[in-house]
Amino acid sequence: MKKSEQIAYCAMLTALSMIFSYIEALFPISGGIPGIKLGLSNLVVVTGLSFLPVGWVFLVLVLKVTLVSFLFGNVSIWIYSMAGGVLSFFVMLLIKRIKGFSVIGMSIAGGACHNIGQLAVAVFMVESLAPLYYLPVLVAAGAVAGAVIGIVAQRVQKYIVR
Amino acid sequence: MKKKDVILLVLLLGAAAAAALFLLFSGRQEAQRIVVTVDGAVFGTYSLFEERTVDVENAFGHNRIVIENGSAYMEAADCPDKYCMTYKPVSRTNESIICLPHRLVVRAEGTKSTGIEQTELDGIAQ
Repeated sequence: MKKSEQIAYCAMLTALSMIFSYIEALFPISGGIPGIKLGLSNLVVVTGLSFLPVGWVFLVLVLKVTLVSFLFGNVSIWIYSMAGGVLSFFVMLLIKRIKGFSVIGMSIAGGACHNIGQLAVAVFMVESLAPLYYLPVLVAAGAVAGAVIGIVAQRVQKYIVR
Repeated sequence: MKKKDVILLVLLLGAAAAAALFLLFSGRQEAQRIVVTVDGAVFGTYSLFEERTVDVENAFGHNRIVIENGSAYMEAADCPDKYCMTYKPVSRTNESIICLPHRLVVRAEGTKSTGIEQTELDGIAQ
């Protein structure tokens, strides 16, 4: 893939992730527990890892988190999203290197770690271990959301990876 | 989906379920009081058996906690997301209400058996 192509894909994925974030903000499915959502925009990161160099995907992640946080949120949302996003990114890279996992397993680990990263920031912010009470439900929700995203990503890959 | 994917999902869900059951089981006891902390520092400790309203006003903003019928809930908050107001009332040990933007934690604690001892210890420590 030429560098110009990579830049174009990077820009396209970033734009797509912003649209996904916007759609998700319109139809929140939280189920009453703070912090639970599908994370539709992570589909872009998961898919990106299958055909773009790692560095470009990381750039997409940073741009997505920064742009979306400042458009629809604030600085503290940026910190939470960044912690979750970066942790899940590196765990997904790790899983990708281990044989026997498909994109679904990678996404499951990523989803769970996204919530773990955010919870770690929460513990640091309130200087209390109280947020850890929600660790089980957030890990479970992250894993399930990751599985859904992974299944979609696998279908998408069939059409874009040549 | 490959075999390892399924194992990973089952492991994560299993561990989460086990931890959740442990938390529910160990938190069965009725709490005696709530401790309100802001940015890690204790703001105040209030008995769950005296009906009252606690107003927390500081640089982060305002929160109003209401204590009634042995449980406490967040009645009002001027934080941007208002997630803290959606928490269910806390009445059992280790249950908590967290207002992240205001760095505020309301934590229920103290069991019937240990409640008195802890109060005495607190009295000595003061």
